[in-house]
Amino acid sequence: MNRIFLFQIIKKSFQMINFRLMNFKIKSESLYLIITLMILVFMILTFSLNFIKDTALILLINNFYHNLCHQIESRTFFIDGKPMLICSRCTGIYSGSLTLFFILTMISSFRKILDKFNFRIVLLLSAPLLIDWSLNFIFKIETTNFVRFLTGFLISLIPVYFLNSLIMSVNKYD
Amino acid sequence: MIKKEKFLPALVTGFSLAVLSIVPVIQVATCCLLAPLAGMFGLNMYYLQMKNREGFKLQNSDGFQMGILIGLISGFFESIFQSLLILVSKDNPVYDSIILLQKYLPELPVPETIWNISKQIDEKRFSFLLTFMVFINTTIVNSIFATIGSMLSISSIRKKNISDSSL
Repeated sequence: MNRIFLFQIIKKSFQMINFRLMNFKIKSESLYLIITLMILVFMILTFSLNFIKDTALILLINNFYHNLCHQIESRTFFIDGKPMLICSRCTGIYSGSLTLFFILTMISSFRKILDKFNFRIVLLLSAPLLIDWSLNFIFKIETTNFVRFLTGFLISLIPVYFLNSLIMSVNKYD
Repeated sequence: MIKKEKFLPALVTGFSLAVLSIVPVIQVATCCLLAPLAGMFGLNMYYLQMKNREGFKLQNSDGFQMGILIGLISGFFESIFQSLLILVSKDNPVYDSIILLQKYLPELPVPETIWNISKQIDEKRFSFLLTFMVFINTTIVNSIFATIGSMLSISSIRKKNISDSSL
């Protein structure tokens, strides 16, 4: 009896999710803003050790960021003596994405300009990161956190470029 | 309703994602590279199954559903694999987190519940709460990135279809 009831609840919730997804239509303006705000919240939470005073909450947030980044202390920026919850390279990637999405939200003409960029040239931006990564990982030559941040910042154009063209194409076809 | 044809691609890609996420070195790329790739593969597999059916049209909701399904399935398997790893190893991720917290925030008291979870892992090598937390975390992260991947795949399929039809 209980099993049938549980199955019905699962079935109903899937139907509800499906109904909501089928009606999912957000204007591109709000989509850019939502993504910018999401990255902003994400970035603010990386400073959790500096402003959250609840142990369980910090552990929960730390566990979440642990899924996204290796969190090696020597490769992390310290703010007021406390480490950020993501490494310097990830900080570069996310702060670059935040900056670019903020520009895309504010200046709509920039979206079309970015969409027209040559895909191969955009991919070239990953070259500094690959060189830095191979220096670190293969040749065991340690570069500074600032270099890691810069290479991360440069590579952030790639996900933003793809997300921008995705949002533009999704809006074009709906 | 979620079509049953989506389950097999989601299962294959979700399971593969979960397996790769526990492999050392590769696991660093799980969220940002492997999860979008899983979303892309999943959606392409679904599209290949469905494209010859009459009246089939790829919709945005297909991408969302595929991403969420992959996130759920990979989260489920990854939580099992992580628990198995804790079971066979001597690691205690909760204790490691407590140590990190006490190093930088010594003034913050660690609640008894968290110490109990750490003790439970030390003694029984398993904690339901930790497994549940891993499931929730990985499901959220993988769902977001797999959805991005499957949406990218939808846009490339549409672009390809348009260029094919214009030839």
